[in-house]
Amino acid sequence: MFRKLADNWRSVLLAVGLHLLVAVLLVVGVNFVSDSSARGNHGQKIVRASVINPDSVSTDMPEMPEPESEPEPESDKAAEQTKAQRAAEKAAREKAEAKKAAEAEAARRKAEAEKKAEAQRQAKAQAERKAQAKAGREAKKEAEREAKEKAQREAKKEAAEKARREAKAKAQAEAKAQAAREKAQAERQAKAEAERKAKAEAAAKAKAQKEAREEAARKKREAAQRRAAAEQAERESSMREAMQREAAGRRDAANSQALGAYVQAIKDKVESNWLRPPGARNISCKVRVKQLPGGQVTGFRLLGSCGSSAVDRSVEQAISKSDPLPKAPSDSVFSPEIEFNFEPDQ
Amino acid sequence: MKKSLAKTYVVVTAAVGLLLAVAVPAQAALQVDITDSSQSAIPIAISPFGSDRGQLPVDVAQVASEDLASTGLFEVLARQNMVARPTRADQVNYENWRTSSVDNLVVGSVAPNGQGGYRLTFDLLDIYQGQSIASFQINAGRNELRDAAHTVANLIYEKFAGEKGYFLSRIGYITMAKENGGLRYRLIVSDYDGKNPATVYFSRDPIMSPAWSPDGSKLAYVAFDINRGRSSLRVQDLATGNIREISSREGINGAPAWSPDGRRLVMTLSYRGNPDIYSYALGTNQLTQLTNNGAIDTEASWSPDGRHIVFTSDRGGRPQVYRMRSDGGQVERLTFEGDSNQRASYSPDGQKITMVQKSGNGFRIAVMDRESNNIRIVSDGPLDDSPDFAPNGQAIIYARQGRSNELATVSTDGQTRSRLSQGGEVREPAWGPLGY
Amino acid sequence: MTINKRRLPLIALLTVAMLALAACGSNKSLRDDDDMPGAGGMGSQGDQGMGMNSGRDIDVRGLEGIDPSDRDMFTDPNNPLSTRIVYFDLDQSAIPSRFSQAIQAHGRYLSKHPNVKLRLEGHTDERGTREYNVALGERRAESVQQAVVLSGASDRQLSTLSFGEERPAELGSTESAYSKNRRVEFIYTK
Repeated sequence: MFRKLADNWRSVLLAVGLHLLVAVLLVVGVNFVSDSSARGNHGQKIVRASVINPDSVSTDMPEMPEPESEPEPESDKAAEQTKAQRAAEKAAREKAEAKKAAEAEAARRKAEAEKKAEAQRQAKAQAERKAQAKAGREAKKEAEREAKEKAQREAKKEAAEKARREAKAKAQAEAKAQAAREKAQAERQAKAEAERKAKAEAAAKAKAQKEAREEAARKKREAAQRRAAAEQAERESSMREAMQREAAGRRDAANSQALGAYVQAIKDKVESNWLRPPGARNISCKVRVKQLPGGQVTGFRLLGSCGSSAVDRSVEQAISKSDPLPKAPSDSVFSPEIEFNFEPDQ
Repeated sequence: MKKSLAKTYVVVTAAVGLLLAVAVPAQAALQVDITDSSQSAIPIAISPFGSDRGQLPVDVAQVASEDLASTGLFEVLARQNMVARPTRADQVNYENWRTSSVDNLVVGSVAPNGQGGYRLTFDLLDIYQGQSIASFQINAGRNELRDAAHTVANLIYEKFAGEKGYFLSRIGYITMAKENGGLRYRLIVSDYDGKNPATVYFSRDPIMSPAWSPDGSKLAYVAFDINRGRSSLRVQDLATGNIREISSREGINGAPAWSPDGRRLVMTLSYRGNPDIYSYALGTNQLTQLTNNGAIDTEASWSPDGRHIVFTSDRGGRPQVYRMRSDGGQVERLTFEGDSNQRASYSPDGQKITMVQKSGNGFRIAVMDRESNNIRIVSDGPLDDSPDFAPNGQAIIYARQGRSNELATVSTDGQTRSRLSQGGEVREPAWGPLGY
Repeated sequence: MTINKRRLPLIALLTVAMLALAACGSNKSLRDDDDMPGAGGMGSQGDQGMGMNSGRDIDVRGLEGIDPSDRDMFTDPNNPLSTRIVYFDLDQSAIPSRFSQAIQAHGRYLSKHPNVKLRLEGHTDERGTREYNVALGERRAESVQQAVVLSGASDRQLSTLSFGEERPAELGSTESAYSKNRRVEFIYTK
């Protein structure tokens, strides 16, 4: 495995880097639609550029009045009258000018404000466009990243799958071979036993027959006795073997029955807690779950995506809602790790 | 010699076998196959949104709850049953919520956004894992709080269903009522749930067949003018109220439907002697005849990929659903069950077709899967008509006539039904696009 | 969905019964319509069960194109011209033979008055989809149009307009209402 890592160090680095990036993003938090009204395809109907009221734009400083240019004559009644008159005229003029200036000012202000508002509208629209394009680019990048990630997860998943399948097959083959060997061994034993006994019997019989003429009756009795003894022993031993096999068989049956019921209980509980998104197709994924002997879940992880993030979430919730899992009926049946294979019939 | 070797062999294998019997379960994981799931709805609670301004003009949590509950996908906890009413994630006691059998909790608040509008922030929490799944922020104008509440529902829906929600979409429909000693027909546009209805067109003469343009900006429909003795097929711009007449020829001008790119209308005209299906290019005003036979061909509808048109034809005797290429070629019959099948239209993903099927039980809404050709009946009849898919393909709206006259929606799998109550006689609902 | 074979005889029996009732029903409503104009006043419209095309409407609208001096002919129950609604059987556009006399009378009248225009308005009952019913109503109107032309009228005097199920003569979901709605109305226009 480590050689493989060394061979593909680039992809390993990329994978780790992407995971770190995703982790960072998750930690920082998804700010879905930000407060800037320029951003976001969510709530586009809601989020509109709002026009700033031109009346609220701050005004400029008012213009200073024009400085006096006419010299004032010395005090003389007529002169004073003229002065007053001129002053009045000047005042009137100034008033008119001020009015004109004010009007011009107001007009100028209005024009400026409108220009400003227009410019702001345009700037906002442009910012919106830019941000939308940016969001589009980012979404595209995100999609590409996700696709890459997914591809890598898939590849990893497949490799793990393959290894697991091979290991499983190997273990199964070994166990099978083992059982076969044992069985053959037992059979050979019994056979050898029987053969030996038969052989011994035959030898004894022949011996008795050889000496039969001299001590016919006694030998016959002895042979018969020996025969009877041999048969008795055989009966007893085969009876013992049969009883042993029966006992072993009963133990196995009880174990596999208990295991089957246990697996069914787990399956029932998780299935009843799984709220599958409607219309989700081609769901296929595995989940590794660690548990304590009492059924308490200490951790779980998805081995690859189940098809979409909505389905992933439903699978995670199914597991966490099923905590604690049904208790194993015996220590021999309990397994600290469970692998769920979510593959519903459509 | 042989005997003792065999004996050793037996002992050794027995010992190894025993070891393996004990060791194997500890190394290989227990395999459990999950092949089924629960039919229940997703339990969720939406806590009332907080607001430092006191009561808001719209109860955001209530609107979003009703949205989600109407889909049948969610089991929404009633407010009076909530153990607490948190408005922030750090106020949540997960243990307490677990006892309420609530899997998911939404907590949020509404604040002014400094521009006369609102900023909504909310979190979606997983009660069993005891953590936040996602956080959202929505900006809305002063009169857009209801739309913001619908957006809350859309975001939550998408997280669980993997599809976009349709809670910002609009529907169009027609009502008929007695007014001022005569009849009044109205073409109405409202929110998908029937709220905020607005009359788009009204007349003393019948109005029929509203059809939304794909971008939701226009409605095509048919208006009769009895004085003139004509029917008129037109397109109305919803923002400006501008009406563009498309066809008011002799005979039938009916059954308008839009192409997916919004550039063409398909319609039924009979001015050449017989009801046939025509295609009309809105840009060039060019009319192209697509069917040409003595039977009735009508109720045409485009496939979402723009390549096919389904329509009703009685060229085989009774009305059935047929499909042709969008240039009129390669006509094939699609329906063979029931007495008749009419008024077909596609789901947005092109996988399903809904239609009205007549059988011994009357007229009912049917959904046909294009891949398997299986047909499922999703309504009860006896006089159901005008089915139209929701813009996310998860539900169908249709009209019920006869003893009960109302608009109803049903989820595409037929499981969840709900009713929109309207005043007066109501017919011909059309479901607009997503709205975002 | 296929029809349960065991139910077939029952369905056949019911269909026959329906048609029989419809036929009986149409005869009755024909006579009723003829009675209507005499009894009609201002306030007789708007009862429950009556649609917008009560007998009164067809007389108000249906005779606008007839010279007032001739209108008596069209309201005299003994004159075949007073039959100005043709009723149809379910899913049929063939004209029942009992209307032949009336159609011939209208055809002859039109041939004698080449400036008079007749619009044939086609209708269906509410069963089935709406746009298909518009086409079915047109089929009925055209069927009558053909017959009237064969009886002497000129093509250019005639036009058709179909309302499908949109303007029932009688509201309700009963066979009686349905049989009154499957019709073509003769509207003489200016």
